[in-house]
Amino acid sequence: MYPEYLLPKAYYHIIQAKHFAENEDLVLIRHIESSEVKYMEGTSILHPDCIKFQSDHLRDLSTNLLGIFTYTDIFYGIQKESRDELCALWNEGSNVRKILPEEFFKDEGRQAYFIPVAITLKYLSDEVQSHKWHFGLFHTPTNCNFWHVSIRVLDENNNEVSQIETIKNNGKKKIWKTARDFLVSDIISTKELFYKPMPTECYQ
Amino acid sequence: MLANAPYIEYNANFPIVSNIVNEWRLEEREKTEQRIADVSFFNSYMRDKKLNTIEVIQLQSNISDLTDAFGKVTEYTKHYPNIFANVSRDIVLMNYMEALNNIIEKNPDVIHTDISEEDECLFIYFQKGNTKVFFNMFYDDEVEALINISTEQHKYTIEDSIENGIEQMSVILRNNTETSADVPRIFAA
Repeated sequence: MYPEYLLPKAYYHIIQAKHFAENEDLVLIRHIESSEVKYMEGTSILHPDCIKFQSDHLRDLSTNLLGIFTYTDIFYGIQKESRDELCALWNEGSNVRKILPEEFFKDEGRQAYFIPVAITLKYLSDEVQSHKWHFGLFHTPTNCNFWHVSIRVLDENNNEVSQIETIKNNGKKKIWKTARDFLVSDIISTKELFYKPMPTECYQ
Repeated sequence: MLANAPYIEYNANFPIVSNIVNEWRLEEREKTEQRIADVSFFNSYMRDKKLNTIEVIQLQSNISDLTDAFGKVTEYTKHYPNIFANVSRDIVLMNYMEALNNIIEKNPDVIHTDISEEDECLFIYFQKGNTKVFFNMFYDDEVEALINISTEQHKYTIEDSIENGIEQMSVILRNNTETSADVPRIFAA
């Protein structure tokens, strides 16, 4: 059975950005497919290859907010044929249907890393391509997972980097590479971190 | 220039396959020829360097690191030609050797732990104490360095040519060793 507690409920609300900033000890979790776990040679530092900013119309790093979502929930994945529907963004206020056994899989070989929210939001960077950049967190619930959160790289005006027309493609790649380098060197932990769940009043 | 510059032989440091060639190993022969060409390139690079005795001794101690890394980078140029856009293979190898060699010469106490390729660049990863360095090389019309340095106090990003980038990086590493107090961000981009 796919865990029902992961599904959005009609009475849930999208979590506002301020709640990520105001609440302490929030932690995000991101799975790594069992075949893709890779460390820097001779270190316990995750290889930047493991940090994949997905490219749709926006580039983001897909994560989950720990709390109701727990470590073992990273093992659930949606079958390719069902992703368009089930991994689409949830319409706030709508009901979603149950997920059928043939629509998901469980891979217990998956591993994970942890991203503390407070450190991520406070991270200060140098300029790259004449732009100061920082990380932004966006609650992006999907039809199969209310706890889905996207990390995006934003400039000083809070524009997502791929949307900035004045930066050439090669320049954008440099900003994303810098963001990934500092994520692995300073923010990500491969050890489980202490966390508190998002207070109920922030989404109900 | 000294005659005893540390050239490498076709040995275990370089993954040379058997020289025995028969019909069903034509593909292997091509690989072998490419590797021999790579070794020649490496030796030619070393021969052209004007080294004093101390540099030769220092270089000899780094030779294993360099040859291992060179073997890796030549493999990347075969598997991932898309990284290198408009830049020729020789320029990739030359810039890579210059970068790695200069970094090791100027910062003998850094630990070189990894080189790797990504979709967009080739990078070398170093550590010195708690300082972590990602030395990224982007290949567009020319080769550009993007160096991300994480020290306990500050985060630095340097965008420059490989040569200038190494200079700036070395100053940061040196300053960070001399004092763990506030290091001025003189080279912050």
